[in-house]
Amino acid sequence: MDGIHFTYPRRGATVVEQLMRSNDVAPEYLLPAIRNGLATLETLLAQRNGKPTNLADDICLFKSILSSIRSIPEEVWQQVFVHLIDRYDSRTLSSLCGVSRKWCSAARSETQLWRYLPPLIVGPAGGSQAAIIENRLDTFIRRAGSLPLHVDIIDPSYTHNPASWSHYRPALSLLINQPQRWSSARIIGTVSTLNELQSIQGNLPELTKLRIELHGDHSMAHPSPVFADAPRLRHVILIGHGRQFISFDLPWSRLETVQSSISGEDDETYRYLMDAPPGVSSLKSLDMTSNQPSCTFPPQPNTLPSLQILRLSLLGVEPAWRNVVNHLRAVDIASTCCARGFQSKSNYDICAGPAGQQMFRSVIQIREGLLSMLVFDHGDTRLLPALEVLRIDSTFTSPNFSFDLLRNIIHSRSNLNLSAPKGSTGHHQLKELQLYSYNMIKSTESLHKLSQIQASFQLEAPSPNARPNPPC
Amino acid sequence: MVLLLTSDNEMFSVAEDVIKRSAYIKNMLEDVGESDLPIPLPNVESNVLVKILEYCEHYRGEPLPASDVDPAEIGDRSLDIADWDQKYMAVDQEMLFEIILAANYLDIKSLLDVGCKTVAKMMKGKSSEEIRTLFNIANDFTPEEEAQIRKENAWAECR
Repeated sequence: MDGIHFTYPRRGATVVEQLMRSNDVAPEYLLPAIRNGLATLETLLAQRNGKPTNLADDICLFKSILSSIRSIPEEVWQQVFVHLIDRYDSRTLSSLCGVSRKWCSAARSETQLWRYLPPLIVGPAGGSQAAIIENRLDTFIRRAGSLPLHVDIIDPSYTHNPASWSHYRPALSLLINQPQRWSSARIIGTVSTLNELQSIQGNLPELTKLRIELHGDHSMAHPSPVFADAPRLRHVILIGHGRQFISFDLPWSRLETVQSSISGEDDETYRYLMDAPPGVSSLKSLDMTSNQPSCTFPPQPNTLPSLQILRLSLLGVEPAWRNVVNHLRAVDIASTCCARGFQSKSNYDICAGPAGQQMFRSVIQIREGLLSMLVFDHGDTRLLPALEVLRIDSTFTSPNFSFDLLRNIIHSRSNLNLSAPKGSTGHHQLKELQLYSYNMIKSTESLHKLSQIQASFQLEAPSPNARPNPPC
Repeated sequence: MVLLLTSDNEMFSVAEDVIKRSAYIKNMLEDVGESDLPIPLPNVESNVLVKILEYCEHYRGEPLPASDVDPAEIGDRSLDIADWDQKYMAVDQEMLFEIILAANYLDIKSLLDVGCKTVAKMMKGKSSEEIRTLFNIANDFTPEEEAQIRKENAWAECR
């Protein structure tokens, strides 16, 4: 029976064919006929005993007509789509719009999908790229309705090119003409890139997140005021790649998380944050890498009631960061409630190198009673009274892990230490020892030594798949 | 107890605190007051209602999400789904969409959200063609529309 011929339900044949080509919901009166047709096809398919046939395709088409997916309303599809987009994602948007008419309509009218704007990348002058970007931005901004926008402006060149900028200024205008809608912004470029944005100053009521990444060697004459008046700004990332002086006028006392990595001279991030009136600072987390952090001198006492995480990585020579280290002695963390301060126990995560070692010792002297977790690379074996977690991270800094150090620590299981800090009682017990070292795992000799220690102290074996955290 | 009558004429007797997870039923009970008459659910079949009630029973006693908050505005757009919810949603595709339709009709926001996340996870990283195949969706664009879509979607190629 090679010539199987199936007749569609005659009364609705045209309608059924249309339904197969569309994604419309089948009218109620056709459902019995379609179900019967499907049953007939399935019977025929079963009779073919696996011989080649196109019946399976027809069955698929009939099933698609009956599928409840056709009844899913547009607003539910939109809710599905919203779960897929949490950043600018052109490929996902393109996929959604290209599935069917209904999906295309649902995606285009869901404003949330379009508020992550495509990056405005300032390319070379000439060509059609500027017009394409302008057109794309216009589409996204229109479809985003009145929602706050996520803005991304990138000038990859190391020197400001006025010809390029004049080409891309129409696209830029689309963004800087409505700064009141900026919810988050990422600005990558030179000092001059910030100058291009001056007109938005004082009109950023919705901005909560900001990332500024500057390269090139042009210094600023004075702190950039572009983002100074952003009343809802809370999260800031500042990165300066060059040796230039860069500085920002920001609502420092309102900031909650600050991540900065400024390699140029006189990094004022720390000073601005610490200059907030005592107790006013909202700072919860400061993760700072700096060559020359500036700091008020003499150190001024300050209170940071919300600070939970402080990571300082001071890379320059000792005189360049001495003031900051000294200033740490004057900073009162959670002093508004001693009990709470003790419970929340601040974590200090100090990076490697001579500066880190010096910092490490200073912080221990200042905070020995509060530290519950300590991370260091190698070298200093002191354990502290409140210490519960000790992490030795020699992955990136110390290829030769000291097994003697490990032996001592494991043997003590508490602060039976080589140089106990003054006043330590030794009542607390180390609960967790974390070892991070690729070399330790890779080397046969190291594994042998570790297995000996393991056998002695019944420790868990390290997992060869374990991956350390990235270096700070 | 609340009586529910499904589209295939099966009657269910359900504890009020269980079915009140449905904002639709909750509002109806508040509007109508106590009644011996069953609430008709013409859009829900009995096999689907059984699944819906399993969900409501599991979350019995847990606080209801605020009804006036748009889930998309809550901020949790991650595709994380609780273990129990994942197991609950491990059903065939037809039942998955039936659950979503019923959750939408009965206005059970948390269930609808889990359903949407489950579908979103299935779609993640897939092309239009792959999504069509996955859900058996017809390509109903005309050639002209398709060309227009391709032109508009040029941003996907020039990033």
